[in-house]
Amino acid sequence: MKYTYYPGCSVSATANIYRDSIDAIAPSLGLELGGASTTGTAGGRRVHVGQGAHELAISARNLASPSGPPRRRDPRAARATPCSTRRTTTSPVSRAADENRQALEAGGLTYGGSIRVRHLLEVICTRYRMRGASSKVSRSSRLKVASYYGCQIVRPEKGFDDPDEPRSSTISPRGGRRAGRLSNEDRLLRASLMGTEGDSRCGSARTCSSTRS
Amino acid sequence: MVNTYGRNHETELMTRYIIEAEPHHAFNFVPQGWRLFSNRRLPLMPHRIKNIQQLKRILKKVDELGEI
Repeated sequence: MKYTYYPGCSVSATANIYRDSIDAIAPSLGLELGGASTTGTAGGRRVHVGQGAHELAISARNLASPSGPPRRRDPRAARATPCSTRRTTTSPVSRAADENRQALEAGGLTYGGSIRVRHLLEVICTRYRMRGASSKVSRSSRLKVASYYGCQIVRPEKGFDDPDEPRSSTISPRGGRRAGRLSNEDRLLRASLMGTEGDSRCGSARTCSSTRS
Repeated sequence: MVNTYGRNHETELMTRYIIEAEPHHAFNFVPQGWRLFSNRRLPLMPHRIKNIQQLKRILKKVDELGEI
């Protein structure tokens, strides 16, 4: 399936491990990702410096570009992104669509507010899990996996997973949510799951604390 | 930076932040920066999006309209 793909700013720099992982698994899963060359920043950092209006306009531009309003029922209108900031700004963009309309028109764009933005993890874990993603796993018996979700992917207001105990990337549909009682066959990756304490905490806070200690 | 490139350039962002926020401790970040650079995590050149002029027109309009 084709998705308009938004990689975020960090994926080409400090978070390049995500890019390498995505590049490695996308062909195997049949994911066609494109359209990243025209997308700008999610604008998340502008919120921190009090430029919320800019952030909404930038996010709206990314959703509107490159070809104007989405075509309903067209699977290519769905967008996948590993940038968590982008995903969490989707709803504010929809609410402020009217206010953003004038700004977008200045750039020759329109946005109807109907595009659903999915995190790439959500796409893989929901759509592709059912299509036998587990069967494409190789070397699983030798892998030891420690999940780390960060603090934005599983936010409660947007979540596709349990915000306190995320398990979407490691549990298959028939595995349920019984943490700690899973056999290897129940896990999506069929790998050895290491301790996951703090896997939904903010990474920057952890980095700061470890740097200062 | 976003107005210039359309996206954040983390290498420049970090450098400017450290120089402005912690100028007296800037050299303390050199080992960490070198490790990031060695692992291709600090690209020297920024990524520029296509049609940056369109983004500039949108942001200019936002400034004219005021806070949304």
